[in-house]
Amino acid sequence: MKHPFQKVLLNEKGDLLFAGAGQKLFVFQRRENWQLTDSWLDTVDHNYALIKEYEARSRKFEQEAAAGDRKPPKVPTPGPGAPPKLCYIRDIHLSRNEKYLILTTDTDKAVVVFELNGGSLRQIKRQPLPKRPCAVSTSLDDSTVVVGDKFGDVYCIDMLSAEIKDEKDMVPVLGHVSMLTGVLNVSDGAGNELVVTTDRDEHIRLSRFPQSYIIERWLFEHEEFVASIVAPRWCRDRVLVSGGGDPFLCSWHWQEGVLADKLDLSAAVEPYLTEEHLVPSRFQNEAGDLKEFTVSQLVELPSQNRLVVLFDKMSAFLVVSVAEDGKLALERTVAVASPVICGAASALSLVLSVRGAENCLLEYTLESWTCVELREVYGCNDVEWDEKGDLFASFSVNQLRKRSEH
Amino acid sequence: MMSDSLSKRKQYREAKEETRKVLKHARFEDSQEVSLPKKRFYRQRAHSNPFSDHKLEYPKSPDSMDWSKYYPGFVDSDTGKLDRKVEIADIGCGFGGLLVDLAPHFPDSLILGMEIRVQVTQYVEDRIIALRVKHKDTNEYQNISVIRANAMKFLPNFFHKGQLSKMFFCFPDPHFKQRKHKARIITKTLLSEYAYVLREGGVVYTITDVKDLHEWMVSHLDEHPLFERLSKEWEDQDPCVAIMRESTEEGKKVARNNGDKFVACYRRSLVDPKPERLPECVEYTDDLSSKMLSISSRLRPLVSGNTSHTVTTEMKHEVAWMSSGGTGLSRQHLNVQPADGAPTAAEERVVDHDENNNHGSAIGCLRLTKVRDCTQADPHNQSSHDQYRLAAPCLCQIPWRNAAENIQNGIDTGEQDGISANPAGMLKHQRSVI
Repeated sequence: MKHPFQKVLLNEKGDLLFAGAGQKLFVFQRRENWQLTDSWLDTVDHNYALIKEYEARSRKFEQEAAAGDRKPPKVPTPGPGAPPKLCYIRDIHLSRNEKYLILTTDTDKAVVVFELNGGSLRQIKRQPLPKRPCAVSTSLDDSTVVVGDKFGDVYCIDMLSAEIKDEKDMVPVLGHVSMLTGVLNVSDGAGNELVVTTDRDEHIRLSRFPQSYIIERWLFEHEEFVASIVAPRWCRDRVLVSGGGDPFLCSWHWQEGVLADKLDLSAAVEPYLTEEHLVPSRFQNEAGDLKEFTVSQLVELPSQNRLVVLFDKMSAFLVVSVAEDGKLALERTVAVASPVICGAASALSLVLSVRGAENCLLEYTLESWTCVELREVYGCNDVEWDEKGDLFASFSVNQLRKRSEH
Repeated sequence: MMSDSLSKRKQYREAKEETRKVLKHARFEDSQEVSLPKKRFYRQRAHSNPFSDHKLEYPKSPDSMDWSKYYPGFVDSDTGKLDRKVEIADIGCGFGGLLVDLAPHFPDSLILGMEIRVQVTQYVEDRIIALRVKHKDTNEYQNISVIRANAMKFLPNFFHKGQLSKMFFCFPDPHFKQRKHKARIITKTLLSEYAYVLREGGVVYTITDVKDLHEWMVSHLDEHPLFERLSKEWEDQDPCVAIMRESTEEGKKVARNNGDKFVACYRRSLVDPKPERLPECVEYTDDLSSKMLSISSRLRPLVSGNTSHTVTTEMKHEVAWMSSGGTGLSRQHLNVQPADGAPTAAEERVVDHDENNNHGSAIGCLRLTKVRDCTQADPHNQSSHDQYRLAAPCLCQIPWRNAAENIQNGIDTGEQDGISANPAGMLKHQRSVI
């Protein structure tokens, strides 16, 4: 079986589609049909860290070989009980000027920057990080990649310079003591740049940028992790919208630090909850019917002043309008044939990757919400997937929920 | 034997818990006898993983925190809320020695200990209860309290910006291993959060018996732009330093073993530093005869080299920015539009409305504020000029820098160097701003 796309991205015009399946990235360009124009495979060994350590030890051994009778270092191999390494292209991100494509990899925990030329890629740099990167943004001027990792640290990487630092020499520009789920650079409209960071605790932090040691404020309302945060362009730098483990979305007048609106999604989502949404047995109620849902992604539809709300393992999505003052309103619920993995939007359409048997890429026209299968795109996907291992486990946003007992 | 002593400890703690439930939030009007708790029943291993998901209780935000339970002696009977805010925090307060010694020194300030270990927190709770009961006649020890919390994760959930005047970090876990260094309580990234909850001029106190850790803390605090180290003389005269050296359990243990104690205190800088690269306000007079003015040298570094800048005011609210460099001339007209049509304070954005301009993209933002109106000025003053303050709070940093680089390098368009001189994305972005 083919590996579904775990991450898709459209450019604003809607004529370029980037899709990641496993460790491979595909680039499609729309002429009359979607055509595969380029692809890129992450070929770094997934034992990158072990091998690097081995090489360092070998070098040291060779240098000191004259000194005595020490044994040469062994080639490290993970033990039989070692957990499987899941390697994916986690995040695909376009710079604001849409000239550069930024990926994060799991193998060497790197940020990879490509220059885009039409539909083809030219790799500019590959900067490994100390911990697995999971959230990417670019500064407002597109000179810097801002990347957050699973350890809660945020690093700045110069987009264009060829210089690659050793990951041990990377110095974070800010840090949470919690896994980061989102990084977003915003302008306050008066020309000051800020960086918004969200984490697996309930925090949304606003810091100046690049003086990220100055925290402007926190936005408090969430009671569960924040999975996705967007700054809708039509709200003129005034509003942020966030969602995650809570059954509601929050919109914020972030410059004042106040909650603008809160939209409960439970009723709209209720008909689409399945057994997949049952709370694990240890935390289940007596009747055993307690279900929970998680917002996995917010997708901006700038031509519509609306957001598409995607949920973890749910065969439906919501369309929510965001007024300029941040007021949220549920517009419609759209049922999908299979559970949605992720989505992306351009001015023209919404593309969803779903977990179905085949042809798992759907394109929706924005007004009518009718969809077509992008067969020609999915046909190009040649990444095989061994169904025995449930690779999707690693994409379950719901797992970010904190379930502590002590 | 082991299980015996374990169950004895458990029984003792359970008995104490009963008392605690009743007395934790009480004002002790009735006469009761509560004995001071015994430490040996509450021992817990010294380390706790600050990254794990403990079952912690913490407020959703500082506003939703109900402090009245913790400081019943300071509840305003009219509002049911505290009449003041917590001002001093002891992060990782352990068995509470510092809290107890600080209490009489700052009788009017609320002092909070934060401790991550459950049993140790319970000990401090019991200790405070016993002390409050014992001193109920004098109302002492009403100003200290303790909370089980992970301060590394949730400090901003408890405190508002600038709420604290002192933060103590006494004998923190050294986390010797390199890979555990992020678990240290003083790191450059966490210091930003401490700077957030500390008021300007507030003090961070650190003490440790581990020299490596001391050097680590000093280097991180030294590097942080919002902290400045206090002198040895300051430490010698500060009463808190003396208390910190002597009163904690760790401090006493180190003294018994004739160990060293390393102290470092830092002051939260008085103001947030100005954003880098941003020019300060330039004052100028709207002299209609000259219509010209040079922007002060603060602006010039933005556009390095031998470029110079002039601002002309062609209309009250229209500013044109010109730059001339060794390699050519570029000129941008920047419209400063009054926000609401009011002439007194015009703060608005500036756009480069010439998209074909090849030299620079002066997409920026100028704030033009009238500081003196000639119509209201002193009639004896002969110069009848409006005075404006021209602030460039952002100048959108990079476009100007790009412009500068492009001028300097003589590049017509930015196509060659990746970042275009007139980055479409940026223009788009700024458009949406306006």
